Amino acid sequence: MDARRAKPNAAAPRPQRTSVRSSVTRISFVDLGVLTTQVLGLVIAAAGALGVHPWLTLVGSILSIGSQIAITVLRSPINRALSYIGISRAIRVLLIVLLAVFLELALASAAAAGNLRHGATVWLLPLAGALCFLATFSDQWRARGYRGGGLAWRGLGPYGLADSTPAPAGIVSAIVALAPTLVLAGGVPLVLGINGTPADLVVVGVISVILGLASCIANVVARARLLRQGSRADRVIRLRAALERYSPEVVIFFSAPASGTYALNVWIQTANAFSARTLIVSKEAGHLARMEPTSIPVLFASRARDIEFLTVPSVKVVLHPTTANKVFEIMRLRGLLQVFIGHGDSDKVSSFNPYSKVFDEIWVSGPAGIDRYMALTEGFRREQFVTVGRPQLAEIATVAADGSTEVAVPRPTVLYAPTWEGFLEQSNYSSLAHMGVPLVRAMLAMPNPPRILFKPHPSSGHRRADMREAQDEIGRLLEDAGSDHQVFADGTVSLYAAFNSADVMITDISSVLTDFLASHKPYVVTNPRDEPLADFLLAFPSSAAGAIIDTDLSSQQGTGFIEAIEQALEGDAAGRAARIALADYLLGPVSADPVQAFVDQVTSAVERAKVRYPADRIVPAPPEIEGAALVTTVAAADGAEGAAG
Amino acid sequence: MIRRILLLAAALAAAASTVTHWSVLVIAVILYVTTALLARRDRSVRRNGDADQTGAAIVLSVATGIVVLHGGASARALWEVAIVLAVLHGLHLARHVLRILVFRRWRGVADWRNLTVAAPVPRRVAPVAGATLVPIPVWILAPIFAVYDVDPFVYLILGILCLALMVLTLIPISQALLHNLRMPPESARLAALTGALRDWSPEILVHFNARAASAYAINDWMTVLARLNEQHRVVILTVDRQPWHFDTITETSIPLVHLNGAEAIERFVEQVPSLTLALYPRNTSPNKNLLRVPGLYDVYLGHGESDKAEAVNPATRAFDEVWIAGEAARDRYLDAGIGIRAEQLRITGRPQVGALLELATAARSGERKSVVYAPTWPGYYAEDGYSSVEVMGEQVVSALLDRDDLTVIYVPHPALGTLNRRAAEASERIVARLSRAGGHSVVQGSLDERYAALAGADLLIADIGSDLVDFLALDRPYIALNATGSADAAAFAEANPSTTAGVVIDLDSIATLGAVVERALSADTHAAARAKLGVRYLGDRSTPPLDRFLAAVSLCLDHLHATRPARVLPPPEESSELEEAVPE
Repeated sequence: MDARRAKPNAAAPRPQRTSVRSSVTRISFVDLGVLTTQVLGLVIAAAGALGVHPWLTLVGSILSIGSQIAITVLRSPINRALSYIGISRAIRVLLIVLLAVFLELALASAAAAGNLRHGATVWLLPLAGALCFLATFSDQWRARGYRGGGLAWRGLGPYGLADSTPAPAGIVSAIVALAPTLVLAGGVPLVLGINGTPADLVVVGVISVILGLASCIANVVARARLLRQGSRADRVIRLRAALERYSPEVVIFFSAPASGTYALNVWIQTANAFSARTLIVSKEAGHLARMEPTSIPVLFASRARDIEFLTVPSVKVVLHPTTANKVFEIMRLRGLLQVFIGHGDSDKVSSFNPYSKVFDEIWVSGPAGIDRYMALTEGFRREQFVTVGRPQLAEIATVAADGSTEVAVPRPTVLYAPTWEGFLEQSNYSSLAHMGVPLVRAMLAMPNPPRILFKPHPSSGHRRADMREAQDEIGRLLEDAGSDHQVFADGTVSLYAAFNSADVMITDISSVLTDFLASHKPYVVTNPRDEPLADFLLAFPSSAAGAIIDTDLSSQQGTGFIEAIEQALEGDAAGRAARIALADYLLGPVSADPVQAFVDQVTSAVERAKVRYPADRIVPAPPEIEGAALVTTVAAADGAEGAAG
Repeated sequence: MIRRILLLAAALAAAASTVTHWSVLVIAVILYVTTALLARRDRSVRRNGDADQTGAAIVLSVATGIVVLHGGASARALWEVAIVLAVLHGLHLARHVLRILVFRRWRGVADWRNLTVAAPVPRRVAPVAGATLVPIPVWILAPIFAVYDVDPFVYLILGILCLALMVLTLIPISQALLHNLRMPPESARLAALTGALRDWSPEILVHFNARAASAYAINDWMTVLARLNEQHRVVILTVDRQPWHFDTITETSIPLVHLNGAEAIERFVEQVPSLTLALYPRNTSPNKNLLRVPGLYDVYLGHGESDKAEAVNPATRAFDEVWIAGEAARDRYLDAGIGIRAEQLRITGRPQVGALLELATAARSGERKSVVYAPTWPGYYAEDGYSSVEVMGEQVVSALLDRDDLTVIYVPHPALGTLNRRAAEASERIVARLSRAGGHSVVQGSLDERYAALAGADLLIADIGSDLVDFLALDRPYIALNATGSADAAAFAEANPSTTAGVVIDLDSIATLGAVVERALSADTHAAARAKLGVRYLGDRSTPPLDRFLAAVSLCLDHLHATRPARVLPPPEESSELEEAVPE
């Protein structure tokens, strides 16, 4: 659940720009260090060879190969980066062999040169060199086999299809693949260094050849096993058959950048409870590994044509947590009720865009969602909307009129949960840097100070140092005050558990505030820019049922911060009706079991779809096996296309 | 990668043979030629460019190493070899890295043509297949000559030649890189671009995204857009890092803008508030990045009127309106029950067809009758299985060539030959047969050329597609091909009403094609049905189709101006930190 907080969440007054930046893995200093070591190793090896200092060459080889092992173990992005500029792992192996073996031998002393004339070495060493390359190359080739041609699935076992083979970590085999190189590029300088005999050189060569051969054979065998899964077209056919046996009625269609798996995860718990047979389809392979555990069958299919073949006729409803471009691939199919369910935060403006009118239905939490869409004047129709509540908030304990809650709070407790500073200063609604410390001090100075729980946003201090300083300062203050104040560092306590352990929350404009409304507990909102009250309320309706505090801890509503907290800790019975009305408006009417309410909604959507599209959907036959005539690289690179005429 | 293994095998072969410098020389030349040829054919080699050649060069160096080992050499010569190889590898790698830098910068930023903007456009280095391989023969030869104690003077010359060639290839890349690095920051360039456009205040944005082979989808609209540009000012927006876009668009004076990413598109629209109407000639997933931007009225144009199932696609609901040619399209959309509402459909005619009608008034040539065979392409999806080229194409051509009184004009769909190899091969066989027979022609080109072919035809044999529908405008007989594999003639006619005013030939009846052609050319029995169908599909043509379309656009714009509040330029951003890419 905490994943929801890990995203930029300040509800900006106007639509936020989509954040489409892919999560590019950054190259860290460690990576650079390893890279430097590798280059240094090569340089030392070259210097050793050129200067006829075999020991130096030996050090260079070991440094270079050692750093390659480090790159593999650390899963450093260096490997990819270097491959991108044409120096793949296998090529680097060749380079070290070239320097440490051939150049070394070629430049060796006259005595050593005698060894060169030895018949066996002239054949053995080049052969070993070639096998060093092939071992590394075949390891890369085997690893590629696990990509499965852009198909992966699990959970279809009961329907006659064992899970696709997931890619193994591959660290061990990558290191084994380097062993022949280590023997060869280390052994040859070593033999020269100790003035060894030609026989020594032959031993080195033979060991390297054996290791190289073994590694190559192991990789070929592993890849051959993958072939048993059949060709891609064959697997599509078997998938289709298994899916027809399973006959899902609902598809959760998911596409998001690598950092966006949370948008699927917020639905997994709810989806596990669906009574309609459900299939999760991901357009990106990476989500499979990052998904929360589920018993629902999961499918990853890379091509648009796969979606055409694998959306079997039983499918009636498609649920969309995102509006990614690839939504197109299933949207183009006829006879499906396409439903946008968003990813839980109905209050977030970035997901409100005119494109969403493409969906048959848009499910929003409460009436506020409908109003927000309709305010866009972009062709939305009221009949497109269904209010479904927020099943994700089921965990949040609700306070009753008499002050009792499902999860008891032992003593008066205030939760301070500020948001982070955002990617852009214009969407910085955090109170932490300027108001955080005074707020905490003021509460600690109360005659009867409440217990304070402090849960900063995990991304706080990402962009601004003063955020980190304030966070540390509050930590110190609470520690000095002793008793049972608590700081919830990253991930230790979930956001909703923190809600349940407090009577009152102080927070900023963010999705946290909207979620908290589900508890019906009183809250205090900060106004860190001291915006005029009327503007503030207009821009952020979720703040309307709370006390709004300016930077000097006063309030334009009349009561100061301490009075507001005292009033809130007493339960603020006067404001309760307003809080409930606001929660109903933003989050939908409270139901006893919001998950079940959603499940029922899905079931009735399947019925609606059957009424709306009574005819069986016509799904084209899967491609023939020899239909691999499709030029795959072009089709894959091309993305989804639709064309008329 | 297979090529790398081949290279390595070649290197070992060099060692295994009784090695002389000449045998290695021969192998080096063979490798060079094969790589250059492969680079010409293979897309991935072209894309990887130098990356692959780095591998080749290193492998070739292994061969050199083996030769050196085998032959032995003086320490001095080996020193020289080592240094030359190191310098060459270094330069080669530097060259490749520079190219990547140029490409990355170039494809990540906005670009434009036909606009006067106070900011430079990025420069790109066009990849030339094989050019990167130029120094390789010298590269491989130099050490070998050195080892074999060739005259030092020869070695010197070779070395200088080799270095000079490398340095030469570095010059244009470095220039482009410097230019691209010196460009103002992207926000400033975008601001300059939108500023220039604000002064010009365009009203229509045409969104286009396609691979090179599908550029016809916008080029077919180019004449219409040029006329539209005279009245309303049009900007063509291409998106998504596809380097070929500007190259594949027909020469035009309409401003072209290329943007990358949803954020740039959103900002662009926001900063040019005069833009009111967005037109989309293709229904593709990247459209979403513009469809999601508020403030524009989104209209799907398509690129041809036909009965193809793909033409009615629920994803079309994302548009505010769909502009269609005639009643037939309206019924198709509404009958499909895909959630498109009648008020979203606007009949604007098929403006392109005006040009076809003009061409047709020119006298038809001579006494020889001409027949056009116009197969469509297999498309992206299984659903698009309308192409006859693979299953019937050769039989069609045979039937036509069997009669020697006909001129056959083969007009394949512009994208036929891409994506599906078997269809491409079938098409190539047809072209080969026609050229062997002589006196026939092949037209795979612009809409104008296709229309010229149609205008001269006495009979059209075509698949489901826009050629068939456009041909209705000429009121001449046609034969429709049913390549869908469905033998149910009634169902086919119901799904494809455009075929009902002609004879339909399917896989079973293809043998009778000769006789059907004979009948169609001698007695026109479908004239009445055809005329009705023509109006249903292409709309009323009492006003010239282009004028009718232009009037519809003006009407739509007037309506939008009257009913929607004018967009205003948002206030400038508070902070300049916007451009900072903060990692997540």
